Amino acid sequence: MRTSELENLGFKRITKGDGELKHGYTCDLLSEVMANAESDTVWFTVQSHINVVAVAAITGINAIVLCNGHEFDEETIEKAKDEKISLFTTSLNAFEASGKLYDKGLR
Amino acid sequence: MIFKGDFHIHTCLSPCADITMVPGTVASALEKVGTEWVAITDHNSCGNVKVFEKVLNLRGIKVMPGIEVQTIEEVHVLVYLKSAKVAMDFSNEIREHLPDIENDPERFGYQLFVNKNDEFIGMENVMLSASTDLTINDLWHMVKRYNGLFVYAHVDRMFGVVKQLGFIPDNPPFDAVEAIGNVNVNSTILRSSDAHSLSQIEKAKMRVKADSRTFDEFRKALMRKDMWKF
Repeated sequence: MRTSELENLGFKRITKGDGELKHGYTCDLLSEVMANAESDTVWFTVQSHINVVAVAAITGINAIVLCNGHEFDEETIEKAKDEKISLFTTSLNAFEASGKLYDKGLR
Repeated sequence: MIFKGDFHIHTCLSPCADITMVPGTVASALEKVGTEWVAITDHNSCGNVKVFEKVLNLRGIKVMPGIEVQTIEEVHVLVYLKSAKVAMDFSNEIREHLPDIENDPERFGYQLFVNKNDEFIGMENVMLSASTDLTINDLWHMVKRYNGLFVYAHVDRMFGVVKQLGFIPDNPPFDAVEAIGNVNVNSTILRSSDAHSLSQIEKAKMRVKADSRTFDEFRKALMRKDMWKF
């Protein structure tokens, strides 16, 4: 699926961008994400520090969904625009949000 | 002069620390291994700094006031401050940034205030093992308002900045890092015991070249990189 489908699933888009999504990954420890996430991934987290964008860029994560009603700060959003990473937010918790994509067949 | 230092020690105020971490016994343990200069760094509080400073000073060990703050990213940062008075003001401000959750001592550990005779005189009721609502940047600005030093704690362990955030962010400009292994940074790298119990107080890993054991001398040595790991 494409990142645009995340909007159809009710996630709020914060930055533009398009990319393929083949996998999902849910974790808040960035060192774990760097070590384990595959490319073409949608990442669910509550961590909004600017480093999430760099970690996404390094690992080939195309979309980040910030869960539990948290919001990205301006610095993170600007960096995501530069790196062309799609940012989304949701009021769902990481389990519920991940489940929506699991239902769609992402692994 | 060269001093033997250990700049990360907890007291019985930290919920995860042993209740035997009272001034008299900590002083004896430090004497035994020959440590001359320490920082008292409890989780999110400086409530026992003053009494430790007093008792350890009488035993010939100098105390640098400190605190280990947990940011909203769940990163642990050591903050060193000029005096026990400044540390208490800093601690009171940190308290306003802690969630209003009462500590359950049976579950999370006792948070005890102690006097110079090693007697428990009270308990901190606010849960100190929680994260503050301060981002790393917020905390850095606060530390600089108090003219303190901002040092990432155990960067390569749980709650260390590298573990939590993958790598050390460009901003804010930290003063030093504490690490167990090797880290690729330009700043001074500290190695400390992070002792939570008496048995964890081991021979000091740091040697500091300074005129005297004061905060200002520590800061100068840190900036000059006149300290090294053993």
